[in-house]
Amino acid sequence: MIDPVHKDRYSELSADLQSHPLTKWLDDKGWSYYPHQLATLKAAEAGKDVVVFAPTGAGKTLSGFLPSIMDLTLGDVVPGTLHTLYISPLKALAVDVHRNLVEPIEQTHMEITVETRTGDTPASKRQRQKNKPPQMLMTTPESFALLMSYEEAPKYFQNVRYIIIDELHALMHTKRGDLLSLNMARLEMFAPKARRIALSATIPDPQMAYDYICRPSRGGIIEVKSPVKPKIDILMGAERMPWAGHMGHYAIKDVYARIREKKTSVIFVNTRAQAEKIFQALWSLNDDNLRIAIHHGSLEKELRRKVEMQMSKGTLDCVVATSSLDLGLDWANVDLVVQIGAPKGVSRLLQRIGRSNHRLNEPSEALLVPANRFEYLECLAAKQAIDQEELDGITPKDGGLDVLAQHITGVACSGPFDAEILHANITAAWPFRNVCYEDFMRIVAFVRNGGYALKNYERYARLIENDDGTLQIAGPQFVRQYRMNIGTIVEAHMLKVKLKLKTLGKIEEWFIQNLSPGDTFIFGGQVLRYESLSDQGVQVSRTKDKTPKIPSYAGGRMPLSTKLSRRVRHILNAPEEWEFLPAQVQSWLRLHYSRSRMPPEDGLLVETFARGEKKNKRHFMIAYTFEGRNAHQTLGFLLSRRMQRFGYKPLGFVATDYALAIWSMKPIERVDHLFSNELMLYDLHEWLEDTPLLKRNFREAAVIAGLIERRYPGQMKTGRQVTFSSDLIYDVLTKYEPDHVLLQAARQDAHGGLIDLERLGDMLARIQGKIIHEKLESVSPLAVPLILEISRETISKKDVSEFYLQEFEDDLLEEAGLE
Amino acid sequence: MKEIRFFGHDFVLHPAGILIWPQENLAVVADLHLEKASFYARHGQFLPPQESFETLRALSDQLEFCSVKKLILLGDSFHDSHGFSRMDEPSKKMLDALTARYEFIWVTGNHDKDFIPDNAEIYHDYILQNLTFRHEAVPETQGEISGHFHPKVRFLLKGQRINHPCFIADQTRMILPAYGTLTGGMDIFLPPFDTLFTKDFTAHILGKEQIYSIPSAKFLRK
Repeated sequence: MIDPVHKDRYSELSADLQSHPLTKWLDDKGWSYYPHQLATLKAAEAGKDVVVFAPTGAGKTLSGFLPSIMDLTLGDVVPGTLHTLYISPLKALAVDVHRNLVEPIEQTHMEITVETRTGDTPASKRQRQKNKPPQMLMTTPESFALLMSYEEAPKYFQNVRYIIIDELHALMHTKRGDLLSLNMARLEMFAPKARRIALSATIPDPQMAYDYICRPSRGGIIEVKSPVKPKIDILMGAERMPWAGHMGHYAIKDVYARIREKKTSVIFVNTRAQAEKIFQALWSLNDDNLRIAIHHGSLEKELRRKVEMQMSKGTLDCVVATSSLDLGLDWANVDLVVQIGAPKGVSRLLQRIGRSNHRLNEPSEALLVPANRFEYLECLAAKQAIDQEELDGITPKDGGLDVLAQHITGVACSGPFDAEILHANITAAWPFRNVCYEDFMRIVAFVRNGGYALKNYERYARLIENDDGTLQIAGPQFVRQYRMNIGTIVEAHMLKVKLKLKTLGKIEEWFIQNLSPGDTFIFGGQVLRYESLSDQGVQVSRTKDKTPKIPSYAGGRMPLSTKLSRRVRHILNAPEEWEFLPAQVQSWLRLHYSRSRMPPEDGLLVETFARGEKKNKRHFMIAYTFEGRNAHQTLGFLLSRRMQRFGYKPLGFVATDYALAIWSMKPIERVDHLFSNELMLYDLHEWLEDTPLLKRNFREAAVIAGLIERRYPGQMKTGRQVTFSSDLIYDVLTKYEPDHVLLQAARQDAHGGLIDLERLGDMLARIQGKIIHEKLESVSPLAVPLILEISRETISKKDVSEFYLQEFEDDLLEEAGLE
Repeated sequence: MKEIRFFGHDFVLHPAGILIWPQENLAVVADLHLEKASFYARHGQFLPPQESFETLRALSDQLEFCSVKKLILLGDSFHDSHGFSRMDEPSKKMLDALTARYEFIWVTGNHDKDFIPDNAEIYHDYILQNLTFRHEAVPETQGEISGHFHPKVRFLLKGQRINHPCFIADQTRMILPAYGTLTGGMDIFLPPFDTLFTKDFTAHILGKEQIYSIPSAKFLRK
């Protein structure tokens, strides 16, 4: 139990706090302060930066705001100026916290002005906020960066005393975190007295968060341990658990039965497509007329806000959500969290489970629903990890050079800067602490005129040099350009989905391109018919079609964490523990055990077999590497390349979190040659330069750094001719400017992010000499899910598409009797 | 390389996007969009400045193997009418070398209509035998070869997303892919291609080293 500080002990509080209206307000509600809230206040009043780690329901938000409220009501503050800056990774959370704060402020008649400012704030309100700031401003890293780019920024922020960063764990070591760190470092110049208070979920390495957010030797850590463990069940329903797939559709009746018993449930899924499917399936069963809603990132903003409002008012029975609801929103009435599909990481699962039951001393209740048999093992591993309090770590990451370019542009927009002073300032931000002056100046050169070895663009420079050597933006058109393109989230091109004049939400352009008029798909929980593409977006109509195509949205899939992977491998190698598994899973493992062998905890199991007849015969190789989807994808690319060189003619591969399957036209003979250490040395470099993944990273870097502009809805028609293919730019750059900062940024992202090179390198080193090759007649039970996996990645896009084109053309010739 | 028959003549398609007419010792390329990068640089978007050089170098290399005497540029050779004045010395030299080596037929486009090059004959429509070469297709014309639209195929084949530039041709009309290094493309299944071509056309898709010819009927899925 964590006990609140009892009223009897209020004498221990400072006199100011004892008599504070907020104390009385809490008291009237039967509440009082928690010890960590008072500890935060004490540390902040002593001038320290603080990181507070606490589970949900522990009153984290009040820990953050208490010092600020005390100062605003009792301290010596400059009236009419910004005093507290609150930064949240989610717009919705900023709005929610605003609402929760305004209530006590109004009821106690404290004279504090509190406002939100996000990308959704109307222009008139922004203008007013610029002239007459509130004392507390709730905002996001992007809107903060925008405010910092105004000429008035130094004056606007000079009286800030507190900067509160919520959900730090979600921002740390991301590009949004990079942007925030840079602006916090800069804020220090305008408001040296501002203290930082960061709020975070529990993480395994608190010191890392401390180093990231606190200024050297000025900080403190306050940790609150969760007093109770969540109650977690894994669903073992009546239906047969599928071999493959990630939808979890089979379990829908059992899930419906469980949510019917509860007051309010949140059903978390891993992808937007899954959310659509589960939502639809629940409604088809909904004889009790439960109020079930859906919430995901591509739905129209108003629809999402409406669902959030209904949840907070308690007028919904269930909401199906993606990671769009992972963070922070406080709904006291939720009494069950269902996770459909594998949890992928322990910390993420805990975060989701924390959405249920916001009372600190009572356990949260959760139901895990594995979508296939591998996922059962993963759910079990996650449950064990939570019981043993083993959390996933966050991998530290150096700041993105593309984000730095954006920041420098923003600084230049606000006024002249001295390069040496700015360099010193950016190195005070943790992610950029190691950026040397030379590298910094290369980025300044990039912002100035593209940073090319050829000085062709000097006359068009975006930065001009003043007589005193300072630099500033060359014209208002570049300021506008910067503001239109701010932020570090680069999404796939999205099109508006329009039902007559009504906008339902947005959908990835490539998905629509693969549809023909008349095709149907599920969106926002309804089946829609694709009619046409116009400047306004995708025109759709309603249909009664029962078998729609499903939007297979990209994104939303997290790779399996290292710790969970280790636990899954352990379960596979502990036959004595299998008897506790459900019968279906047990028989699957036992069958595999008799037909092939279990993937070892240490070495690597590789199976090979062939499928199909004659012309359609394909040779398969399955490697049970257990390093997560991203690492497997990279491995797939590298192995395909090597197989191509060895003449095996690889055709494609599937990467799951557990294993990799590659198929080829020719059988693979020497498996150990394929997996040699050279793979990482020789093939990697060559591959990296030519990979679609690196091109994707490059596109992101090019947008963030401002080389190419973002596309906005409505620009589609002109957009086609105006925007540039980042792939083409990439090709020219690699040829003529291989050391260009943006290529450097793309490579940096590739190493750290999507392709998980580190994990792959460790794995290859570990398995040398320990590779077991099983030559099988047919597919093994463990490999079945892979073969069934639909979503598939390709070798080099160009190469493989040519393979298929060749086949396609050959088929046609044969059909026509020509060959 | 691929040999095709169009409007009574034999042509060869080069996978880089060059049309060759062996009988006339002639090569055709469309939409070079030279100095596109420097055009955008004026608006603060600094695309790689080597773009023109790369386009001309590739063209020069590929023409070596085509054994032609004449070169038709099908319009939008420069991204704008002032492109030439912004071009750097190495690229100008490369262009001069090309004009010295080949007889240049310069068809004007919508982007570069006010630019008049040296050492080249300028045409809006260039007619040879029964064929008209112009920048932008004119409906109802018979036997026309043009550029302007940057045709490209984007479709799903066996779960594989295909996204390549292409030649597109029916009985009487052919449109060339854009040749320039930084030129994108337009999907041939979107307007205006549907009004320009009969239902029965062929997309000659550019591969790395060869052309894949797919008739339109095969694209109509399901």
